[in-house]
Parts: sequence; structure tokens; C-alpha cells
Amino acid sequence: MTLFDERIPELVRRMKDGELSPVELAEEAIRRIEDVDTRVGSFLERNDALLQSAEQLLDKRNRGEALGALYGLPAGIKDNIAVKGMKLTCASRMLADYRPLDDAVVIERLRAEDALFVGKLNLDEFAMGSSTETSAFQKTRNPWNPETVPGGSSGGSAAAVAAREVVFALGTDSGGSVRQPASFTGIVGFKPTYGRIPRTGVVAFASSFDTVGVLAKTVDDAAYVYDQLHGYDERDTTSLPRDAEATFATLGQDVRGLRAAVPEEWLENIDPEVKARIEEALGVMEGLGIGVDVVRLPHLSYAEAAYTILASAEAASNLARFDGVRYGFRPEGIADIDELYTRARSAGFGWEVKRRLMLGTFALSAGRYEDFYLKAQKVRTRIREDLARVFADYDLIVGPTAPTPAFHFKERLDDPLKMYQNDRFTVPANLAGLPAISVPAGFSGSGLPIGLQIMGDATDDARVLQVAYAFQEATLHHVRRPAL
Amino acid sequence: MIAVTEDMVREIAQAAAITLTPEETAHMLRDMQEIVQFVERLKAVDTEGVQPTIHPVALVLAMRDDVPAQGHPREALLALAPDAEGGYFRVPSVLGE
Amino acid sequence: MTYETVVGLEVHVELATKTKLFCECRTDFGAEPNANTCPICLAHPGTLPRLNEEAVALAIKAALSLGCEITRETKFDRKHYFYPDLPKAYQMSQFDRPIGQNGFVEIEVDGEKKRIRIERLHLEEDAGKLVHTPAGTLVDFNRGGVPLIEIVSAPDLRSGKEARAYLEKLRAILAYAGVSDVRMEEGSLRCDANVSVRPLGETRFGTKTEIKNMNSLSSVEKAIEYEAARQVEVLAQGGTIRQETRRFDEARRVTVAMRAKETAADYRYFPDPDMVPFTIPEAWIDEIRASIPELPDERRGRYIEQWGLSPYDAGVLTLEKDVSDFFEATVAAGGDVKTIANWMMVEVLGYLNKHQKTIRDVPMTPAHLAQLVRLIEDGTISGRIAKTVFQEMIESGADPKSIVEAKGLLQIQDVSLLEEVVSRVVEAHPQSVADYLAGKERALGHLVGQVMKETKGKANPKLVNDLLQKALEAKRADHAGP
Ligand SMILES: [Mg+2]
Ligand SMILES: [Zn+2]
Repeated sequence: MTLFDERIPELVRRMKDGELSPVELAEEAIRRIEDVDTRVGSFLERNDALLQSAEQLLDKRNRGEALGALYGLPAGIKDNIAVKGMKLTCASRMLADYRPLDDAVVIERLRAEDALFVGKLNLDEFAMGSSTETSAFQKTRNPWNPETVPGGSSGGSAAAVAAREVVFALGTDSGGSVRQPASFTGIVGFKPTYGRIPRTGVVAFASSFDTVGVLAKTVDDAAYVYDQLHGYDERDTTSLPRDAEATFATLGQDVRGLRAAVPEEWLENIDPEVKARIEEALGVMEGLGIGVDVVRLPHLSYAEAAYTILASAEAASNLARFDGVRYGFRPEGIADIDELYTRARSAGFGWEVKRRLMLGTFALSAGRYEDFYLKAQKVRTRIREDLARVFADYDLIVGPTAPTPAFHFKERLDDPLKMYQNDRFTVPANLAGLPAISVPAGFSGSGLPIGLQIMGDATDDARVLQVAYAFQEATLHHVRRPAL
Repeated sequence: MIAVTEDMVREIAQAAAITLTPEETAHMLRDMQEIVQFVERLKAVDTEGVQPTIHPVALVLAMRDDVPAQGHPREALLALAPDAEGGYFRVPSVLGE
Repeated sequence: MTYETVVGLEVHVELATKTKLFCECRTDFGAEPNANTCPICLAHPGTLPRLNEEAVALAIKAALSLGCEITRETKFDRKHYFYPDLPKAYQMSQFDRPIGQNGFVEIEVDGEKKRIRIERLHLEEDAGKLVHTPAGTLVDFNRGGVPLIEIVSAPDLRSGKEARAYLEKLRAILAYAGVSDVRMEEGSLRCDANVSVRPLGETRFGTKTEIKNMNSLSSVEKAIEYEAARQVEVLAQGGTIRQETRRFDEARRVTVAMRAKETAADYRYFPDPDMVPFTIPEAWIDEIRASIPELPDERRGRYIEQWGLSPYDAGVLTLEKDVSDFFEATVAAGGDVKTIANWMMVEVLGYLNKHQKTIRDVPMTPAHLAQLVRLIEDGTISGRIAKTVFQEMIESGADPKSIVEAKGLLQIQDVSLLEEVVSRVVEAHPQSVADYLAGKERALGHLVGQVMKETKGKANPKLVNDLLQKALEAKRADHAGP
């Protein structure tokens, strides 16, 4: 039991009341990282000024100033989110030395609430991957079993929370990158409705999919942090204009009478242990008074293919700016401008990024646009229509977060299709911009966590959190922690 | 069914400003053949009369007032560049016109 | 064989906004390199576009002024290519939903009116500027992200002269509407031409070339004339035209092929996912339409109707907004409209043309010009003296009264003084007197000239005329006498 096993609201209360100091919590983070991070490998960069910042927060309290909702909480930030003064590498050689001049909007908001930044967390290069293996810098291991991946692309964020190196972490989710690693590491990963949290300062992978999400030990912690992050910002015109209601205060609300749909194809071709845990979970939900039906969504099986095309196309465009001219990596001994582009990009990007840039460029090119990019956009509409039809009758869609528990390193790295299929159940939420959460649903026989995914209709973020919370409190899978 | 060829891979790599070694070209060809074949399953979906989705949520675009603001000093921006000279970003010579 | 020239123009115009299209950086011309940049227009990772409402409003205003339909549901698309002046490696532009479509511009060449169709008008962002040095290429992104409208004409132009007339008219309309300062010298108006030729009577188009780097109205005209002649020559020799981009060499007045790209450009346009498509409300369009001031054709009509100017004069006086505004301000300051118009046409435009200046470059004010015209009208100075005063006035900016006084140019109105000169002249030119009396009226003019010469041009010509006639009639009486 460490301090970090405590729930966030309780930690904040104790610090505000003076029973606990932000410095003690910061020291706990440092001690924990020194203890376990050589085995976990979550951190790409640590904040050298963590203790000073904690002391400043202590002074702030001593001066009697108003204290923020996240007062003194040590947070970890996925390294595709800009924190002023720290690197922003996206786990890519391309940005190995890049330091942004501004905080991301989410970082401004965390700072305004007196959170502490422990450091920057590992990810798949430019968030492209499902195992954190495509990071150019280091391997992050699953705290439950060092031979397995932590999932991805927010693998560093998930592992850091699971290993109790931070109290919570921010990740990004474009096709499941918050939920899938949460599922693999036995924690909670919440991806809100697209646009609920502004993207400004978050390095774009696939702009119409990218969503900032929260990784935390519990649903209540995730809801508490999420409440400090959502709301419109004029610097991101794709952020939602209406401020969502606070969610934390609504946890514990009665979920009886809600109706949940389980897509038939989500129970097919999945790991038997995953299937078993999900069926148990559905039983628990029924026990909570939630009606569960199996439904058929005709276009859901195309989600992965549509996502692959659209996300790659947006990525190919978004990553075109990395050319070694204004910032970023530039190799030595360049003769002319064409060579600058190709050499900077060939040496700066890893294989997975190149593969997606190639596919995206292919899908947008003359003569292929209609059959690939435009077709995928139309299929995206079909999938949204399918989901809208379900939500006309149901409040939730539930099922597994991922088809398997955490897999072994290198198991899928060279098989792009196998890797992409990891996202089968998570990409629909991104295609339609819907809120979804992964919550611990038990373990495999070999002790690997398995996650239950709960998805809601657009802007039903609070309901998703309420149901996940009810499930968590009924099962208590979240109390188990990795031995390390 | 579209056949991904080695020429196609080279052409796309050029458009994406990436150079591939001969081994990488062969590897990329295999990967792309596999992925393209996988995504071609979308052809089976009837999308007659379906509008494309550009963005997942319905939003009204908020525009900005035309009011200037001074952000970071030029030196802070130039300091991030691999090469800068006299207030300019510098790149290797751009040949021709 | 007789060939016909076919030209379409693509014109890029910088909009008169204070800030860039997607960020809050200033747009002023001539700032220190990269002084007007920020993480957004330098395409730093994590930055997002924020659309400038005024740029959209000005684009709509331009489109309405050119008779375009407004595309109500519109969006931005990304146009991809790698070049060091393009930070994102894509230009934010509009592909299939340009803000304006199907407009037109009326031109008049050699007395013939013609309607030139505008296919599309869209909003996009400008690129940065490259400076080539022996130690590499330097990049200044001040202009990167400045809002532009691109106006694409149909291939309706048939000569360099027509192209020039179209461009002059387009420039006038945009200046009147107040959407841009349209200065070709500062690059706020730039023009590319698609040129082809075909046998007269042929309806299909010939292969076209694209001409770039034309930096003035006259170079547009010359480049097109040269290029059309070149193409005719190639065809006459049995050759074929290559579809290529050519550059106008200002010094040699020829077009030169630029380095050909190996592959056709594929811009891979797709809708920008960082910004949602948007709807232009009808009420906004109405509001902008109501704010459009009088445009050159309307103003020209008013000059003809209200002031009785000739269509030609009215056309010349409205071609440039600044000139027209100067003219109107002069009229407002008082004086005969036609006299002022005449002074504008002959003296003012003549001077500007001769010295390659614009009306903004000279210190003369409309009030001064009006004063000058009144000095002539009330007989204080003669028309000839006025021209001397004008030269001084347009160069120094001094007011005409002070010039007249300082230089002693006041007209001689003294009858007795002039009578003396007249009688002297009559005595000295008996032949002219005889001619006059013999019915040769022209001889009077000669005598007037002599009086003016003696008075160094300061005599009031009307008075001289009267006095001379009186003196000559007296002579006639003498002859007819007893
Ligand atoms: Mg253009
Ligand atoms: Zn800027």
C-alpha cells in the first residue's frame, strides 16, 4: 500500500487540510519511479523541478491562498502533449530535442488546479501503435508481466498509473489508445466525447479522431480529473461549445432501468478468457438492474478498415510538416532541399509511422481517393448511422475493450493487420466521436487484466462514468495491484 | 482489386518525401499489399447516396476577430530551428526556379 | 492561317486584414524577417487553425462585387506539396466549395464591350518568401498565412490587351470594394496567365502554357502577346506546344520555360479535419452586400448621367479608385466639373504617367486643384499661366494662390495699360491689320498672340480680344471714312 493507492479526492482533502504535504507526495513519486521505473520504463523525461513545484504549492497553502481541485497531485503526461519547459518528443527521433513554447490547454487547466507534473510518458511513435513498441526510445513493460506489452499507444501513461508512479496520467485516444492500455494494465481509461477536451497543444495524429483521455486507478478518480479538463477553448474550434456538467458528483446515481446493447460480433473471435470475463461482467450489469441485449450492427465489422484508411490519411497530412526546416531533426551534410526532406523524414520516422504515411498518401492520391479515402468516409457515416440506431433504443453499448489480454513483445509488431485488429472494439467510438471507458473486469488465468468497455451516445459522458462506477463498486476488480 | 506494385510504392514514397532502401521497398510492398487488401473489404459496403463524414460531431465553426496579438519573440522561434541566419530560417539551396 | 489567342487569368489578391488567416500575427508589409510569425503559422506540432472572420467577410465582399454566387455550405481543404516556404507542407485552400462561383467582369477594349466570366473565387493562405544566397536559401514566413483570394477567370480573353483591361477592371473593383490595396509592386496582387492559340473558327482549345512572374499590368500584356506569337510560330513551323510553366523575363521581354517537373503534381486535396465545414448565413451575406460601396461601373454611369462627362472620360477617371476619389474631392471643393475633369485627364494623369507615379505619391491636394481651376475661372490667371502654376503645385504641394503671388503671375486686368500695348501692336503689324480688315478673321489670333507675348502671357486673353477688336473696328471706320 502506497499513498498512491488512495483515491484522488481523499488525497486532495488531506493535503488541503494539511494532514499531508504536496512535497511528501512528490517525494513518493520520485521514490516510486526510482524503485520501479527501470523495470517499467514509463518515463521519457522527468521533471527536475518537481520538488520545487511541490514546495511552491506548500507555500501557497501557507499563504492562505485558494487551492485548486488537483492540489498537489503528481500527474504523468503522455509525451505527445505539450508541457512548457519539457521536451515534446512523441517518442520520435524527429522531435527528440523539440521543446514547445506553450502549454497545451489541458496542461494549463491542470496547472490552474495546482497539479504537479512528474514527467513525460512513453508512447508509440506519434501515437501510432497498440503496444508502445514503436517508440524510438525505449520499451515500456506491463507492470503485471514484464514479458508483455502495456498496450498502446498510451502505454507509458497506463503503466505509470498501474505501477503507482503517478496518481493519474493523461493519454490520447484516436482508435483506442487510452482504453486498450488501461485494459492491458488493469486500470481505468476514459475517452470522452470527441471535442469535450480541447486538443490545442496535443500533437495531431488523426485530427478527427484524436481525443485526450484520462488514465487512473478508478472510475471516480478518472471522473474527478476529467471534470477539470472538459469545456470549450477558443483555440480549438473543434472543441464542444457547451460545457458539460460535472460528472464526479453524479457517480453513485442509480443505474437501474438502463438498457445496454452488446454487438454480436464483439463476442466472436475473441480470446476465451476475455469472453468469459465479459460474460461475467454482463451478468453483473444485469444484477445492477441494467437490461442487456445482444444486437447486430451490420457495418461494425468494417470499422477497422475505415479507421485504418482515414486515420492514416489524416496522419500523412498532419505529419507532412516535419521537414527539418523550422524545428526538429535535420541530418548532417545535406546537399539540396529535396534531400533535406527525404533524409530528415527517412531517418526521423520509424517503420510504423512510414507505413501509415505510405498508406495515407496512397489513399489520398489521384485515382485512389474515391475508392479509398472517400469510400472510408462514407462507411464512417454508415457506422455512425448504425450506432445512432442502437442508441435510439439503448443507453449503452458494452463489450470487451480488446479481443485479448496483453500480448508478448514482438508478437505482433511485424504483422500490421494483427496489430491493427487490436483496435477492433475501440475504433467505433472514435469513428463516431462517442464517449467510452475501459474498466477492470477481472483477470486471465495467467494473471493478466481484462477490461470491460462501456460506450455511450455523444455527450453522455456522465452516464458512461456512472455505469462504470456502479460496475466497479459491484466487482472491486480494481483493488488488485501488480506485484512489481 | 488494386494490385500494389513496387513502382507504386516508389511513387508514393516520393510523394510522402520518404526514401526507402531496396530491402525496405520490398518490405513496404508486402505490408502495403496486405493492408490494401484488408481495407478493400470496404467495397462490399453499399454507400449509394451516403454523405461522407468529415468530422464526427456536429459543430458550428467559431471564427476569430481580426485583432493582432504579439506572441513569442522571433528569437525564441528561430532558436528551435536546426539552422537560422540573420532573422531567417535557413535551408540548403533550393535549385532552379 | 489566322490564329486566335485564348487566355484565362488566375489572380491572387491579398486581403486587407490586420491579421493572418489562421493566427493573430500581423500582416503588415515590410516587417523584419519572421517578425510576424508564431507557432501556428510556423506549423508547430499541436497548433490548430483559428479562422479570421474578417478574411471570410472580405472574400464574400469581393465575390459579391464580382457578381458571384456565394457558396453557402463551404469548407477548407488541404493542398499538399513540399516546399520550404510552406510550413505545414499543405496549403489551406478551398477545393470543391469555393466561397464564390460564376461571377463576371465587364471590360471595354477599342470601344467594344465584353463580359469576362469568373469561374471561381476562393480563400486560401499565402506562402512565405525565399531569399537565395550563396550560403543557402533563407526563409521569411511573414507572408506565410496571410489571407488571399484566388480569382479564376474563364478562358474568355482573346489578347494581351483584353487581359490587361480585365486586370485593370478587376483591380478597380477590388479597390473600390475595399477588400485589398491591390498593389502589384508589393505583391498584394499577383497574376498567372494560361495562354493557348487555335486556328480562328476552331472551338476546341489548343494546348496551354502557364505564364508566371508578371509584375506589372504592362508585363502581363507583353508576356501574353509574346507567348501567343511564340506558340503561333511553333505551330507554323509544324511543331507542337508543350504544356509547361513559363516565366516572363522582364528585361528581355520573352517567356522562358521553367524547369519541368518529372511527374504531374498530385496535391491530394482533402477536407481539413482540424476545422469543421461551415455555413455562411444569409443574413451575413445581406449585411455584407449592403456595405459594398459604389463600384467603378456605377460611378462611371454617374459621371456620365449627372455630370455629363463623355463615356471615355468617365471611364478613364474611374479606372483607379484613388484617382476617382481625388477627382470627386476636387469637384466637392468647388469649380466647374468639366474643367476639373479636363485638368484631371490632361494634366494630372499626364504628369503621373510621365513620372510613373500614383496620385498618392504627389503632395498636391484636391483643394489646391479646385483653387487653381477657380483662379482661371475668375480671370486671375490665364489657362497658360495655370499650367506653369500646376507644375509647381503638383511637385511642391504649395497652394496655387501663393505660387501666383510669389512668382508675380497675376493676370493683367488694367484696361488702360493693355490699350497701350494693343495700339502698339496694331501699329507694328500693318499686314495683319490689313488681312483682318480684308475679312481674314485668323489674323486676329496672330495679333492676340503678339499682345500676350508683350505681356509675358499675363494679360487677360478675353480683355485683349475685346480691346483688339475695338481697335481694329476703329481702323475699319477710318478706312471707310471720307
Ligand atoms: Mg492558389
Ligand atoms: Zn502566426
